[in-house]
Amino acid sequence: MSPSAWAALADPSRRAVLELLLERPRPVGELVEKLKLSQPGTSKHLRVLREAGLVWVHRDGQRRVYGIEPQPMAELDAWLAPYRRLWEDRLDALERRLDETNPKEDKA
Amino acid sequence: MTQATYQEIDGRPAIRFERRIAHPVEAVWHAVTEPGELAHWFPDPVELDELKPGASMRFDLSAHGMDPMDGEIRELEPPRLFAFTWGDEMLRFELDPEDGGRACRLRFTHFLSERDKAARDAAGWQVCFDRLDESLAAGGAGAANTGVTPAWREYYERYLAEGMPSGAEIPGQA
Repeated sequence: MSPSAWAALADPSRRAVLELLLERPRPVGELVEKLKLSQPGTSKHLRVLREAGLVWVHRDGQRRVYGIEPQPMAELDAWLAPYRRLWEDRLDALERRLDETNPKEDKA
Repeated sequence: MTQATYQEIDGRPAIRFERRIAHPVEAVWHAVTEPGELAHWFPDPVELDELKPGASMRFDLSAHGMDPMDGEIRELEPPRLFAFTWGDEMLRFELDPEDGGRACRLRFTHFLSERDKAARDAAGWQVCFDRLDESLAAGGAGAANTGVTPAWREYYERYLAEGMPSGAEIPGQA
């Protein structure tokens, strides 16, 4: 991933855009509505994401439809993987410990 | 289930995990702040002078054949916020009651060091090289058209100069 892709990902609104696009490609209007951002604000985030190579755009008649570029997302995933493995495993161990020492007080 | 997200907080790369735990905040607080409890789940044994901001911590890394690592409590608001340095990284636990206090939302943040930031920026290249090596090992047919650009070759040669093991040939290079 390029440094610009990391910078693009650091913004919470842009991560929200990516989350919506992970579900399916969406036209700009739908993103504006879901994100509750202004049209110019949304367009600005989409431009940053596109310039960073994280999303693609297609023209569909009058609409512009955006979608996820899979390769950078796969690279992000590869980079996160060791941290995720470490902490998910450790947090599972934390929950097991709590289950042992604090039996659930479910009604009998 | 946990959701892991990449973020930058105050310009620092950080990885954030969030999960619901079916135990009250107080029980989770105990499990994340008491060395005797940490021993049951934290990656390494922890020594903690006392539970107050600025107190020293020590992490025993002997299981990995490494010297101990120092830490210091940076944020402490019982029973909801606990953060401490872990070598040149920082770990933060945030707890919030859920389901009328019967459960708890745990937000855990691992702030990485500057060293990791550098590695992060290099990661894309590393991934590229992994793929290059894979396709070369597979006969090179796939790599020929994926663009061994001058920039790529420069990075590749730098990695080689640093001793990255590779017996693979670069397509188009005799």
